[in-house]
Amino acid sequence: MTVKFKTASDSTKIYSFKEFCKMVDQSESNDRQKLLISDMFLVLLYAKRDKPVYGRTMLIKQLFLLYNEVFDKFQKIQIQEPNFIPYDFGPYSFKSMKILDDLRFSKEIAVDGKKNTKKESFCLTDKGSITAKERFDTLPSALQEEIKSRRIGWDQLGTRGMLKYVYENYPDMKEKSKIKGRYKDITWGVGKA
Amino acid sequence: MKVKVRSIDDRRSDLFYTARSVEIKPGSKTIKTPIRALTNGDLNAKAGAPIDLPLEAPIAGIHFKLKNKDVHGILTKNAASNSLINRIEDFSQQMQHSSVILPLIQPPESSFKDILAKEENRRVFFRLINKMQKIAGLTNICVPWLAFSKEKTVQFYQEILKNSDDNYVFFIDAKANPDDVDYISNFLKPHIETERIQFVGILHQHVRKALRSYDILWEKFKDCNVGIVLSDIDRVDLDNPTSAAYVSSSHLNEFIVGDVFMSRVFGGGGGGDPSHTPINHRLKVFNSSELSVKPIEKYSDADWIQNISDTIPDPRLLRKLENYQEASDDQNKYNVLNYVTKVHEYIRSSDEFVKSQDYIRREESSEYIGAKSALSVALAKMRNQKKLDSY
Repeated sequence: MTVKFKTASDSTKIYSFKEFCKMVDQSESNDRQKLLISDMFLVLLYAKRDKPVYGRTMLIKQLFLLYNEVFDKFQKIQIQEPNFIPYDFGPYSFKSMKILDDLRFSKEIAVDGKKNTKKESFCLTDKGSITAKERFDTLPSALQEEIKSRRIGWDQLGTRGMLKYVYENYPDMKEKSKIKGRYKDITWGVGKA
Repeated sequence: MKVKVRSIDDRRSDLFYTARSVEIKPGSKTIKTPIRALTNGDLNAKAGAPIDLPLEAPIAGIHFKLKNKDVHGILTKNAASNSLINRIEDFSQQMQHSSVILPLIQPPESSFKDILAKEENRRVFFRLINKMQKIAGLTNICVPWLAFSKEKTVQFYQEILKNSDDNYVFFIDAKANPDDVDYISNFLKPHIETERIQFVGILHQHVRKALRSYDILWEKFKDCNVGIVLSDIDRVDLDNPTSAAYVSSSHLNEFIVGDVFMSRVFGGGGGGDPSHTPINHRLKVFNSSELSVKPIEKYSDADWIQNISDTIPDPRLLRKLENYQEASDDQNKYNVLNYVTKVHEYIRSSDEFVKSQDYIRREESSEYIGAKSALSVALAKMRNQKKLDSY
């Protein structure tokens, strides 16, 4: 797109209002799409909106994989850094958990069941679904499909399988886990035992 | 839930093979059969491998094959019931993307001579597992095979149907006396016609050991609007003269009787002790072009590894497969590889069931069977033929 302008004697460029709007549009379209951590929670739940994520551990691990294995493929989207660190059950983000509490407080995410068990469920409220839909619809369709598909794959793993997957593929995130003894390290490519 | 027969393919000759396709409508979606159900065994394999690929599964099955000590626990300890409810709930959560979940909580045959020898204990056992399934939130409730006499079985089923509106799946053991199978089927049929019953379960036995029962079940139910759930199916049919073909039992039974196929669930991945048998013989892989499940020794390494990595393209997985020899004397590594082959089998076998649906609907099953060598050999042997040419 070519934007027309006049140049003043001091090299100042002077645009008509119409041309200026064109330029702003162009600039916005070049910007990387920005997503906040709250948006990641919302799109994760919206991808299968009638199916909750069960368990806090499962939810934070899904957010970790969404950030590391899904959004990392889409360079045009800029994500707020969740700052995952190795913690009691593997990767954990204090910032994200605080945001999750905020989403619950603002009644965008409903939390049900006994806290800190596999029965604790996280799903969108009607209010949350509206916001989540707005965010989800802005994502490229390939990314939307990827998140939908991953949600199924992750839910099917269950908490045990999810932890095994994360510990195996992100060993640095396992080091402080309280339950790492239950998940043996298996190293391949070392020859017969 | 609605179940409707879409087509029956025994037109050419019902003396040789039998297959049908039904449509199951749990809501707005339609599920076509024959179909493979995703079991808790498949999910254990997915978690143990671990593989994050989604497994397409319109129908899932929770199968707990109880041991005597489990039955004893259910009858005597509160903790045992609580633990079973938790396990059902956990698997239901993992299966939440499936439209239908079918449970089977089956006590062992030996328990009928032991802790469940008395009729009263069998009734208490059922009462408890009935409640457990409801507490766990299941919408289809299994009534396991409790090996009553045919008259008592019918009386027992009658009592259940009379006193509850729940959706029950009544299981029949295929190796029961054919006369009993006939009698019980006759009782179920009118309830199917009134749509009170949507699924009938069959406990799988090798074809040669239950031929007459299967024949009766086909004749009774072939045109019934009911989903026939064949469950506890062996991975490979090795218990007959066609064992050289290593035919997949689920795919063989597709042409005997059944709409929904639930493979056997093993505890601990079914790995066993690795030291007694070479890994090339123990580790088996599904071959969709033959419908066989053969030891990897029957293939070149390049072939079987390629077969799996084409289905699950993941470089981390490829590294495990290429170093499979390391699992020869390492149980943990063997379990991982065994799990991988089971996830691979679930994906490819499910695809094959979907492919076969079209042939059955066009009443051209013979064409499908002819293209699958292990299946055609197994079916031809059942007809005492050496070749397949008369299909």
